[in-house]
Amino acid sequence: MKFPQVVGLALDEPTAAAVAELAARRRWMFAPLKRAEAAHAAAREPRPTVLLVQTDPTADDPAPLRLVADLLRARPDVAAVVLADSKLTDDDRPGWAAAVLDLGAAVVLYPPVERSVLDDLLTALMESTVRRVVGKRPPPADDAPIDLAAGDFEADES
Amino acid sequence: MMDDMADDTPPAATPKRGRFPWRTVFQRSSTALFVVGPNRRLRYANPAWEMLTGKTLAALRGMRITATRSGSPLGQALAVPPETWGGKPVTVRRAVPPRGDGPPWWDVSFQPVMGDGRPLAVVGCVTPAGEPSVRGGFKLPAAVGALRAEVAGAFGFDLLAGPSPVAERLMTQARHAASTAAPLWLVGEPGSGKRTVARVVHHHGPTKDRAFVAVDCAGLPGYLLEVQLFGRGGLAYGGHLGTVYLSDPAALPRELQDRLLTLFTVPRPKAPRLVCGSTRPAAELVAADTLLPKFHTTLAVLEVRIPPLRDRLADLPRLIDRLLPRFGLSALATGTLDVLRAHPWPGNLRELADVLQTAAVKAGDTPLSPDHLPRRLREQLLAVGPPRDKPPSLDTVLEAVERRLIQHALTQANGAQAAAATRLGVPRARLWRRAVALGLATDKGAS
Repeated sequence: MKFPQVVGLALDEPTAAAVAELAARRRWMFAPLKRAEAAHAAAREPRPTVLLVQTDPTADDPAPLRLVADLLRARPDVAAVVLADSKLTDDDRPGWAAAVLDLGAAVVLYPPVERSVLDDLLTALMESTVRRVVGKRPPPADDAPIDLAAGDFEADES
Repeated sequence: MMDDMADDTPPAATPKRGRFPWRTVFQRSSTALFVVGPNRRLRYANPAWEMLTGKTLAALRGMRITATRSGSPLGQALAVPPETWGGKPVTVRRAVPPRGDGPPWWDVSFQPVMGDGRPLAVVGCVTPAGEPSVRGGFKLPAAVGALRAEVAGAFGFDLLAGPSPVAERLMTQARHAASTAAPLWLVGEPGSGKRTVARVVHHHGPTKDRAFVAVDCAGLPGYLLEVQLFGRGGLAYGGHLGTVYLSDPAALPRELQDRLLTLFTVPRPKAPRLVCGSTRPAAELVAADTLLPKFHTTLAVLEVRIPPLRDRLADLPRLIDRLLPRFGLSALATGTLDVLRAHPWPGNLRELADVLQTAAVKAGDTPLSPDHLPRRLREQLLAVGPPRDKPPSLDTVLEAVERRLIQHALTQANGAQAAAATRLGVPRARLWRRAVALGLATDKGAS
């Protein structure tokens, strides 16, 4: 399996530093990127991926959230975490979070994001992403298709 | 040095020549700086810090700098992270005291001053983050609304369609599920598309005007899920939730399962719909004691089984056609579909997408040929041979079933034809004619 990766878009310095340290500890790749197009290309690589996007809820800039929405369709297994740049009031939070989650994000976080929370979240999401590997092989196919009914006959006799 | 600092009064404005003017540097700095001793007490702070905090060093020297609730709000805001006491520089964002949460924010950098392998002190630097406060009157940007509409449009019933009988059945069941707001339980192997079915049902169901929220119960720390839903400004309040999709709810702690039950079972206006996805039916998970019984009795009103890909290979061309553009491919070369058909797809649609994505990199601009596919898939074709072009005809199937029934009846009757005919409810002569026709007996045997 290829190395897992965390793709970060427009992360502030403390968050990028925290993720870089965690990624180094867990042996993940970490790509802190500034442009949504670059993040899109990185997140589409065929490897377990967690996307971390920082965005301002008040800005009418759809690029970061478009990235989340595009990946929902192009790579639905990428877990996307959206960090709000500025804090919303308790009344405003549910509406914005619901909209972002509707676009395909797995989690929405508000500042301040404690390092331990980021660690827990990224680790759990990455483990879950890595777990989604190819499942067990099915039992070998029976050449005689009619034997599908055999179990029913036996049940009749019991 | 630190003791010097702690006991210093503001130094003379002009440093002596030949000595490094560290006191002056600290004192004149416009950056708010402070020093915490190894006993977690404030030892020094410069005038910029005093200006920023509105406190004087004289009043606060010796104050406990700790994150525990016993500390003052300022002490909590300046608390040194454990990593820094371990020797690592760290920058954190803290709410400006006395508020427990921002904005406004401070970015606080901590630099340990090491000596003999242990920290002698920690130097802190405080910078106002200066981000805008958003208070009330917040409106969702128009671009977000447009994106949501675009996403909703991408999850049509055509995603589930296909020529196979199981795809037809899935489509019928999904349409039925979308016609109600009843809780839905989706059963399917990993990668079979449970979340996609949940989204399709949501975007055509009675709660489509509100949000679809997918929760990976096994991939999200329980406390974070709890905060997202039930914390301050949590999603459970405000009526924005349309459908909540819980992937593998049995992975949640029982306390959280219990709390979710309240969210979905207590009648209230704009109550969200619950859709659960699992590899096992709710009843089995309840029997295994990993799921609260009410999930089965109340929250699994409709159960839809998502067929594995190996049971819908007839849908493969259609599924591939839909996936190819996603990976920049336009067509399959001759023979590629045979290789793909011969594989049992234990990872289902997810595996198919992964295989095509990897192959797309190799294929570049050319049509996807068998050589671009993983070797294990090509070998699979050699092992099992090319797939049958046609499914068995109805006559073939009926004959085989009839043969099996007659054999079984004769076995149960110890070869007595009359008894076997009675078991099957047909005249003995007819049983015999059919047995001969099917090669189970001979005319000679009849005489």
